[in-house]
Formats: sequence, structure tokens, C-alpha cells
Amino acid sequence: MLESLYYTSTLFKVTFFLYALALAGYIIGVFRKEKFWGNIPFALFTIAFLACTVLIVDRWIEAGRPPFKSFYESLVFAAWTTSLISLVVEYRFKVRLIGFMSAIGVVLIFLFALTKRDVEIIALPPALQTWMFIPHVISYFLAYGALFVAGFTAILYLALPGGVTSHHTLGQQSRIDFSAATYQITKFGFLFLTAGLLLGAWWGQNAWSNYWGWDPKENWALITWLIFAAYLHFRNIPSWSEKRLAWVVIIGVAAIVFTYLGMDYLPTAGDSLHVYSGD
Amino acid sequence: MANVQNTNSSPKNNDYQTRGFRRVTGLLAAMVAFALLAQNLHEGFSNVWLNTIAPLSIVLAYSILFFKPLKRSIDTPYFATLSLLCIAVGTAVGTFVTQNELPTVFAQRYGEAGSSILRFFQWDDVFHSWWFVGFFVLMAGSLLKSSWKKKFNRENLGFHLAHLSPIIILLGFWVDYFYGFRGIIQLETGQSANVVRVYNGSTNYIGDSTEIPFRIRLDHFEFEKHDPDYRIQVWRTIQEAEPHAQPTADGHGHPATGTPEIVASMPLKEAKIRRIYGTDIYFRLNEFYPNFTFEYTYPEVNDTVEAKDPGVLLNVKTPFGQADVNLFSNRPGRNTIADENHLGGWLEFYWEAPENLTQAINGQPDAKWAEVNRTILVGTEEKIYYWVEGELSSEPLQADKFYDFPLREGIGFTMKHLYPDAAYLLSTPVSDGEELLNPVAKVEVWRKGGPGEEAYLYPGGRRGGTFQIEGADYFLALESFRDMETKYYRSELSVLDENDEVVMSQSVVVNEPMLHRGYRFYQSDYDPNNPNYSGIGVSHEPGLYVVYFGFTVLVLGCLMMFYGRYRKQGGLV
Repeated sequence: MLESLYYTSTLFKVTFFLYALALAGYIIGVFRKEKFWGNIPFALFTIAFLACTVLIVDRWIEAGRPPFKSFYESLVFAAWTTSLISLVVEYRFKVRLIGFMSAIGVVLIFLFALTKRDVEIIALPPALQTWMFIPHVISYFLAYGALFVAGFTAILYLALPGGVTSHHTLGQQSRIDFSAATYQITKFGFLFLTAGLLLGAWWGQNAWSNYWGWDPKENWALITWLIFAAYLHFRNIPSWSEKRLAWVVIIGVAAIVFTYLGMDYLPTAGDSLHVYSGD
Repeated sequence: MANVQNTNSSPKNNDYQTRGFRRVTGLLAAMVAFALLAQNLHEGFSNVWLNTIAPLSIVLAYSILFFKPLKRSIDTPYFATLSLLCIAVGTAVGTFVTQNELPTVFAQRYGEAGSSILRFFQWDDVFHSWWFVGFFVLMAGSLLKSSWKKKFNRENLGFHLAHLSPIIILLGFWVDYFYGFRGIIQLETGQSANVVRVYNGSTNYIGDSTEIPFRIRLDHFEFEKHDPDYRIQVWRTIQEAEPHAQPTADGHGHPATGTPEIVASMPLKEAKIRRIYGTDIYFRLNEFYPNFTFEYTYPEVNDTVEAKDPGVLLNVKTPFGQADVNLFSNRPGRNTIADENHLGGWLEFYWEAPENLTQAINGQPDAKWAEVNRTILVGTEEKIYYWVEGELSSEPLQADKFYDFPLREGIGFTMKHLYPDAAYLLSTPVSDGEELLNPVAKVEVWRKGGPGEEAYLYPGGRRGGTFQIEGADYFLALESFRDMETKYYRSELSVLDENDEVVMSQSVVVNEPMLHRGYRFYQSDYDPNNPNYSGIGVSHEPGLYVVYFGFTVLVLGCLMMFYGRYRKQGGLV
């Protein structure tokens, strides 16, 4: 991993360092109640997010194509969307614990990206040379980012079912219900999950004359969608506890992770048309 | 933010919830059992009673037997959640068990008993199993009734759109399944056809053939690789035997000892010093030559130099391009280019006229010598002799003048230098233009505090093109991976009517199909060994726009339901 870090671009190193710094700030912030320790990690996380934006743009220019092709590139983009959603959610709900969880997630994603570092920049194959590539991937990764953050708030709900008091706005403190926050974030994620799934089907029709091919990756994208659709319907069962709802979201996030990383373990993956380059 | 969750989980509610889930679980389980029985009868028997009437009766029986409980439960959230999760589980099964395998391959993978059990449960083709389709039918019923029950007003518009759109998508999907097809027309340039080899269901097994009402002709096919992107690569060789053994080069110019793995690839940035991780080895690119060649000069000392190693520098033009070539009179094998195919004969250089040439000049050519056409350059005479089809002729040899080879117009050479001793010939590496015709990189490698060593790297797996760093497991290479990948495939297609008249012509590439009379034509296959072959995917999907309409309605419905202006604020989904 150190060898990978050595050979990565300076921008990657800077971004990774800033995310790690933000995480350190959040760790301190979790134990300190001063407004300062709420704002510092948030500011660091914002700067790291901006650095990540530059990293992605730089890669886009260097590769001469959208940087979503390889595993490494998609992981960096997943970190970017997760940061973006987390920053918006943290800003809205004023709870640094959300940023803390997201910073852990993003640092882990960056560490994982190091193990998948691209030695060479891969060119786009004909099927990916279409404008649909961009909205499809962006929709999916916005959904993944949102649902990861929803997963974090679901975990926070299980850990702190009574919620926490907002820290960042001194004088306007209110109690945050993580279950309600999870629902709001999941709705947003589900919308983009739906858009990504349908854009993918539309693209599949243009590229392979098939909008649905029961490909393993497509199937797991559908499974993920179904789990989150079930989550939205479980909320209509009055006696279905919020604890169980939180678990459904966590299972949904696990399904996302499997869809993203687990395809190689399926016996049916050999014929899949959805394979990341780089391993 | 409003907390919309009702946290009422009293024992009474829990009982109700348990009963609700039990009832729906029972209904779905019964559906699976009835569907399995019906499909196994349908597939297992040839008797019309057993393979058609009995399965239909079973399906009908389920509908009649469970009509009332279905009617009561189908629009409940229990039914919605369980049917969604059942479809999810069924889909997952279809990814864990290989689908649509040939029976022999399936039995080989799962064993005789295992494959029989899996086949009984239709796990060998989950996505076409009746129980899996049954989930969709019941879910469609659930969506329809849920929507029917809900008041049609502005507040509920998002709900209706989101819940009716999956039915629209399923309808389009089933129309395509029953009335559409997907297949392939395999053509070579100039060929036309109207017979499509149809894919079997959702698999890629080619089944029957079908005819389309017009012919498709492949006018032209081409594919192109990406432009090269040369980079300096650092490779590591895992030494397997003696750690300090000097590796030998394999056929690709890479050391043969151990397995080489690429550890880094750097853009061609001149003068930037780089270090190999974990070592004290540094290197930098000193110069990159896109079209490497040598520029030769000979000092102005010709008259005083003894003819120890005389030679001539020629720029030879062949059908494949131009190259500087040195011929040396006194070096056996280095004074002749014997390429009758491209040069029309042999090209030879002698400082002084050889004996068999003198014989030919005297009209007595050696019979064996006279067998081929020859172009002979004689240095002391500064003359060219041509021996072409038994005739000898000559002309003065002048610098910078182009000479055609015998019987090869436009293919010939230009003399650049004629010199008596090669030791005085100076060669300087240069690039002949910016086009990537013969890329070479000059690198400098050194250990910390040690002297630098220069090396020339060249790609294409040529022997000696890499540079093995002495005493280390690393070697440097100059390669481009990008141009190994295909940039595009393109077929120029024409649609022909019944009189073979061209109705339309269009270029088809991946992602840009051609549409004609409800049929779509895709670039879907090619053969790297046959540049004239193209596989044209054909699809006829009458329900496609219904599906697209359903997609749009679904996104719109979700958007309105979650964020619409008139949605029920804080209400449940």
C-alpha cells in the first residue's frame, strides 16, 4: 500500500491527507462541545472535498475522458459523492457525528482505492463512449453517496436511539432524530438510484440492443433498488419499529457494497458486461 | 424536520403485524408451490393433458382458491414489502446459480442429484420460471389495487404515477418478450441478408432464424485502435532462482527470469527525476524521439584518411517508408541488401570494383553472378552499375540525388555520404518529425551518489528495448497500452428493398444504432482476424417506447411523491 501511495499523484496524496486530517478533527470534535471543534473538522472536510474535486477534474483532463472507468477512479468518485452528501447533510442537520462517520467511510474508500491503483490510464471501450455514461454514473454515485450517509445515520440511530443535541448552532439547539434523517436521505438516494437504474437500461438498449439482460450487476442493482423500495413501504406498517427500519437501510447499504465490489464472487459474473478495469 | 414515523408498537399492533405477514407469506408460498407444480408438469410431459390443461388448471385453481385472501391482502404494505423482497431474493438466486446452462454443463457443475433438485425448483432458469413471473404478476396486482384505492387528486398524483409506472414497464417488457426478438445478422463486406439468427430469450444462445421484410447490406466495415500514449514504465521481476543472476530477455524483450509485473507508469516528462520506491535508484527521461533516427556527418578529412573501413550512407525508400542504411564494403554480409521483391534485385556497395563486376564490364559475366538484377555502387569510381536482365549500364554516383531501383519506379535511394573509414562517421540520435513512427526514449539511470548510465528504450517487445537495472529486480520500458484497445467499430449499412434498390444508408457504431421500420440495427460483433466481417445486432421491440414511457413516469412519480409541491407534507409514502 505504501508503494501505491508513493506512485500516486501528488493531488491524491494531498486529498487523502486532508481527509485524514478532517477525520482527526472529527475525532476531537466528537469529544469536545465547543463550536470551534464543530466548525474546524467541517471546514477541513470541505477543503478535502474541494481537493477531491480538483483530483477528479485533473484526472478527467489527463485521461481525456470522464474518470469513472476503472475501479480506482470509481472509488475516488464514490468518496467525492459521499463527502458531498455528508457535507450537505451535516450542514443541514448540524450534527458533526454524521461528518465523523462519513470521514471514516471516505478515508477507508481512499485506502481501498490505493489497493486498486491504476498503473496505466485505461482508454474507454466503444460501449462507454457515449454521453449517457456521465449521467448514469453520476446518478448512481450520488445515490450511493446518499445511501452510504443514510447507512451512517441508521447506525447512529441504533447507537443513539434517543438522538443527539445539535452542536453547531449554539443557542438554537434542537434534538436530532436519526431515523427521520435516515428517511430523508434515503428518499434522495432512492430517487437517484431509480434514475441511475433506468438510465442504465436506456443506455443498455442503445449499446447492446437490450435494456435488461439479467446480467449479475444489473440484477444486484435491481436487488438494491427493491430493498430500498421495501424500506419505503415498511414505513407504512405502523408497528414496524424504527430499529428494524434502520436495519433494512443497513442491509440495503450492504447490498450496494456487494453490487459494487462483490461481482467477482458470483459464478454468473463471467458473462457480465459490467466489469471495472483494474483489480 | 418532521418525524413521520409512528412508533406505536403495542402488543395488539404486533399481533396484527404478525398476522399480516403470515397471511401474505402463506399466499406467496402457495403461489410458488402451485407455479412449480404447473411448470414441472408443463415441461416434464408431452401429453397435452399433462403439459397444457393440467398446468392451466393449477394456475386457475390458485386464482380461485386464494381469490378472497388475495383480494383482502394484495394492497397492504405487508404484501408490498414481502413481494418486493421475494423478487429481490429470487433475483439473487439467479446470480448465485448459473443460468441457462446446457443440461450436461449444469449437471457437471452441481452433480446429478443437485442439478435435478435445482431444476425442479427452476433455479437453472430463475428469470423465466413461473414462480418468479408470478411474483411480478402479484406485485402488478398489488400496485394496481393500491393505486385504485387511493383517491385521484393532485396530492396523490406522485403516488399514482410511481405505482402505475412499474405496470407500464412490465406491460412493455411482456410485449417485447412475446412479440419482439433480438438476434444477429453476420455479414462480410458486400454481402446482404434479411435472415436474422434469433437469440433464445434473454440468453445469448442462438436459436431459430427469422426474416425481416427488407435486406441489409454491409457496404464497409472498419475498426480503429486508440492513439498510442507512450509512457516510461517501471517493471519488477520476481526473481525465482539466484537473486543476482543476470536475467535473459524473452521474446518480448523482457527479462525471462521470474514474472515481471508493472509497478509504475510515468508520462514522458523530460528532466523530471524519479526514484524507484524502496531503492536508491533514480532515473530521468533525457529525451524522447517520436521518430528515432541517426543523423550522420563525416568530418572534412576524407582525403587524408586511409580506406580502412569504407562505407556508404544511403537513405533507402521502400514501400514501407524511408530509413538510413549504412553499407560497408569490407564487412561480409553488411555490403549487400538482397531484397528482390521490393528492390527489384540486389543493392551492393564496394569501395573498389569487384572481380565479377570487372568481368561483366568486359562482357564476360559469371553465369551465377548474372542470375539476379544488381545495383552496384563503386566508391573509388563514384559510379553506379546496373545489371538488369543481362544488360549492364552505369551512371555517376552523386550525393543527394534520388536513384530508382531497376524496374521499381519511385522506390530507390539517395546517397548521403560516401566515406573511406567508418571510424570517422559521426552519428547523432535525432527525431525525424513528430509523428510516432519509431518512438525511442533516452533515459539516464543512477544510484544515489553514483555515476549515471544512459539507455535507449524502445517499445513493441523488441529485443533489447528494455533496460535492466544492474543488481536490482527492476527494468525500465517504453510502452503504450492505450493503442492496444479498440476505439471504435463502424459498419456502413444500406437498406435494400425488394428490387435491391437502396432505401437508406447509415453508418452504425456502438451506441448509435440504425432504426428502420421498427427494426434496430446495432454494431455488435467483429472478428480481429477478418477485417471484412461485421456482426449486426438486430432487435424488434414493439414495447420499447412503452417501457421508456414507464421509466419516465416512474422517475417523475418518485420526484413528485418525495418533493412535489402538492404532496402530503410529512405523510407516509
